Amino acid sequence: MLSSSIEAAQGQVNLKAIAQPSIDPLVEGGRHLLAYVDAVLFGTNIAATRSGVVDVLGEHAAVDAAAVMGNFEMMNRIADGVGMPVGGGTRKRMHQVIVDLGLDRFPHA
Amino acid sequence: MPISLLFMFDFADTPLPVRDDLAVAFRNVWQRLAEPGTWWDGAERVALARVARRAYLGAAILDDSVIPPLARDAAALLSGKPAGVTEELIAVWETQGLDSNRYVELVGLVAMVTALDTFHRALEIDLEPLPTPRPGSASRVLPDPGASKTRAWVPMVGPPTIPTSLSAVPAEMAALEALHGPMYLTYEEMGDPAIQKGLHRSQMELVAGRTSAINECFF
Repeated sequence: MLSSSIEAAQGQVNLKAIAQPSIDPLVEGGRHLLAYVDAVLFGTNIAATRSGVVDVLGEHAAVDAAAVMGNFEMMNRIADGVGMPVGGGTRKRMHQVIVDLGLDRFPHA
Repeated sequence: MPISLLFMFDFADTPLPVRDDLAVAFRNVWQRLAEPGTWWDGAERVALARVARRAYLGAAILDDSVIPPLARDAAALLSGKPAGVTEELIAVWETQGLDSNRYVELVGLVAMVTALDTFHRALEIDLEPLPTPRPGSASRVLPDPGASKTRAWVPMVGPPTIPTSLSAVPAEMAALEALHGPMYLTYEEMGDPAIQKGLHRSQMELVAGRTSAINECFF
């Protein structure tokens, strides 16, 4: 699902932050959101990172971040489970992003 | 909706404000989970959910005679290490008895349970107990005759895209569509790059992109 998100976020986000969360994504509260995602998916420091999101972006933002994480945990399993292909056109359009982020290392298309 | 489900996903005591549309969507997932599906009955669906939940946590998968070992293995891998699923593995599972229709329903079910559990983990809310299976047999409604396997690993009706991903089992496809709107965006909302909900679209995509990167899901 990464390619879809990257295409949707083009021009709004420093995409390198998606692969390297130490980089500033240049989105309001972005560093806090990245830290929250890492905390939830790796199972550490969840309360502190969620508080960081609440402090900077508010309570509704933290709830929506939790929902978006859940949604993409779902979509990732569907894409991986059914072998959703990435079209040649998408690969062509995103060639530089793929190189910059080192995405070809992923085992799936 | 059974009365017991009305008491599930009650976020009244949750410190953060959980939207009502999320609670309604979650209850609908749990109601469907307990009922006979297209290829698995209610007891089997709940058993698959139990396997998925334990596998995600890295817990031992208990021997469960309700579902075949092959289905247990598939649900565990898809939940715990989705990037480990391969076309070859699906083909092997099919030759050993896990046909593509049953597999597609399993994919949808595991994915939706993971979605709800991740939401709860993120807000550090206790996971909702799995529902009590409801009696009845799977409907065994055959897929649209137009469903075929092209560039994806399972049959779909139309070109392989997320909106057709589970189309071999229409009930699962409809359930997925009912859930991703409240949790993220509806298809219509996806066309708006500036949409603002609790998060701005750019913030949503940052969360989505990082989640997918950790899961090594490039699609």
